[in-house]
Amino acid sequence: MNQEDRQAMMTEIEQLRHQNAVLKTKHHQSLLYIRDKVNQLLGVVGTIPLKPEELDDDTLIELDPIGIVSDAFTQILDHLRVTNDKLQETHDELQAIFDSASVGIVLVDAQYRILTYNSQAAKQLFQGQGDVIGQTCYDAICHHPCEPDSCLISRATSSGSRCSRKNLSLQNHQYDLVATPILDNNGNVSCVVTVFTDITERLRSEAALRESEERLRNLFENTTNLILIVSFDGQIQYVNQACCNALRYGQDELYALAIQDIIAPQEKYTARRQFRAILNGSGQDHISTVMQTKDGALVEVEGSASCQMADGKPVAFRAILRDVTIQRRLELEMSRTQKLESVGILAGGIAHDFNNLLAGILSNITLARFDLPADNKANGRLLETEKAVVRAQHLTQQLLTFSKGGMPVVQDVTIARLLHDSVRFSLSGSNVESVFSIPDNLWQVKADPGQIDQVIQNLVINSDQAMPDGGQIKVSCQNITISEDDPVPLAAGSYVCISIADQGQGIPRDIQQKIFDPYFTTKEQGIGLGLSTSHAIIHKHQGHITVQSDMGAGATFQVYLPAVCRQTQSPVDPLEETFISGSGRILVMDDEEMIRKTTAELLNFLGYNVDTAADGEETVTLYRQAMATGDPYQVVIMDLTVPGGMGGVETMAALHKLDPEVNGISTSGYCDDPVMANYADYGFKAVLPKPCKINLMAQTIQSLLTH
Amino acid sequence: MTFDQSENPQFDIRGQICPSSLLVALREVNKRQQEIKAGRQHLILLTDNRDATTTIPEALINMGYNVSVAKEGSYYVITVTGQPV
Repeated sequence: MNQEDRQAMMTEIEQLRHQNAVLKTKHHQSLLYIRDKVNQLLGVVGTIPLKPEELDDDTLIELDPIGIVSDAFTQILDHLRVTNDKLQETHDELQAIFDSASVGIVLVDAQYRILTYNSQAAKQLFQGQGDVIGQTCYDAICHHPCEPDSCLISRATSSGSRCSRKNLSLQNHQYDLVATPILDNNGNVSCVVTVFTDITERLRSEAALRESEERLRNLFENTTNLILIVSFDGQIQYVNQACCNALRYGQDELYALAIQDIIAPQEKYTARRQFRAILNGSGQDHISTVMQTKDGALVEVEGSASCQMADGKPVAFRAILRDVTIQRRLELEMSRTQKLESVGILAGGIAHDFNNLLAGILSNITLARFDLPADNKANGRLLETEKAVVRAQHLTQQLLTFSKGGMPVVQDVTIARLLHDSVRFSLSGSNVESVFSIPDNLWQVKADPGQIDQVIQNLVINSDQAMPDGGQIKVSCQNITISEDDPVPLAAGSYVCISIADQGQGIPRDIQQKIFDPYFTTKEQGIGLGLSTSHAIIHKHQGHITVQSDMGAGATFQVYLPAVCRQTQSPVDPLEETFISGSGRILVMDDEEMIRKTTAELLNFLGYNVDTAADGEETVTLYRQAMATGDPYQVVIMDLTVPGGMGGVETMAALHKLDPEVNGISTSGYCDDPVMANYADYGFKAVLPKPCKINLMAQTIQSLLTH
Repeated sequence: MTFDQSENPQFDIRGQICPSSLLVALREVNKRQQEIKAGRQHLILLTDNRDATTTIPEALINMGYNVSVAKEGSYYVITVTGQPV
């Protein structure tokens, strides 16, 4: 190696040494830089800086802490991203929940500034205000300055605890409020979450429900229907007032009873079957049973019942029932009435013919009496037969009155004789005796003798039956003048009061008001029509009937009848009775030949000149002819019913056209015919029943001819 | 430091103090991050440094791992598992 080469090598070595020194310096600086940056990273990660004795330079390089930490940071960032995504999702979910809440939710900070609110709050509280975030709650919600004493948010803020308030009025709505403070790490209130529950509709619904309940309660409590709810085991759970009234129990008393306790004993088995059927079935069922009141009376009910279900099982049944006791009674009465009407129609059908027959019999008996010498014993028998015929006529009349309630055909009646005959007839074969006390100056009465006879018989038969072991019936009469002030329900005027008193066991006070009701009877075999018919008859006579009775002291019936104020004539011996004779022309119209014949004979006997006609046409013809000849009829006696021809009413109308002054007398076997009761309305001057005793016929004709 | 090559590796870093114990823990977790996060593995660290029971869990929780610390006599067992997704 030459000097030049050595010099060059030395220079190169020197350069290398210099480069090495530079490199070492840079290496040391790099390691310091690395340590510094690693320490920075470790600080971020949350630990202490590296210590030189802990990691020498070689280990530091080998460990690659920057790589480790940067890798860790990558993961931290990944984790943060995932966490942020989750937070965003959670936020979105919470926002959706927040907005879908049916209540308004508002967050305000400690200075009452609105931080956020949900869509329900926007709709309820901030409509038309736009975005109110940042505004104070008192401006945006209350629309007036804050009033800390009454502000719920203020109270929650100052107390640091949840506060609530019911029924706050805000913007024409009612709200329930709950304010919950949120505390920061220092325990200070950072914000308040306020929940606004709009209760306006609920309050309205509650009010409507209350009204509805009230309406239903009123309906239930004021209806006349019986409403009850009975549990599955038969316990009464609910009854309305009508039920209490009908059964005469208090509500609490009924709640202590089972349904079987208010069912009539004879109906318990049937009722139990009906209730079971309802509980085992579905829908509504008709129900009909008989209940028993607290005091033992029976109440017939019918209606509908349905089963109340819970979880598919029957738990109770509900029934709405009507009290049909009166309806059933009326139906029974109607049935009886219809039967009676049928009898009445039948009776009406035969009464006319029957009365015509009786009229023939009576007229012939009367004529037979005239043919016999006065001292002939047969006279008495004929007289009794006459009375029997008249009674037979009364029986027909009773049947008609009974079934049709015929109007009375009133005439002036001497009541004493009628009483004697009726009482004697009613007590035939009885062990009860009758005692009469009738003053001589007793007035006559305006009455239908047949109907009054029926009343007297009903009363006497009742009295007789009240004394099965015998006794006495006292029959007394007196003249009575009723004034306006008298408590008796009669028009002021003159009356005859007939008293019929027995010595029976008397009538219990609690049924005295019922004895005149139709079909009310205490007798096993009775039908309960006697007293009700009597009451109806006396009422139609413008009279009155009462009863006075004390248990054990008998009963006294009093009958008031309008008086004529004419003194009763003393009873005349029928065998010595005289007839008022007369003269003049009389025309008799009747479709029955026997009636025409016998009536003509009787009138001839009385001194009248008689022609007869079979129907209205013949009557009008004869009357016209008599007028034309200048020898008119003074009286025309006309039968009301002429089958297939002109009857009395039409004939009377035709005669009126010929002679407005015609003296027409209507006669009929149909004594309940309204024409007989209101004869003047049809132009007649008088009426004669069929059959008719000769003296009544004579009196009636004479009264027409003399007036 | 010993290395357990079982399915759930265990690292004994007793005797080391922070931050070297943290760097070792992070390095081993980084190596197995896929397995741990997928739930196929979990990592067990044994340390006797009290600070490490704070620094290691904090760092690993920020990185998205579940960490539990249990005391076993004179040292601590730090178990690192993945978070359920």
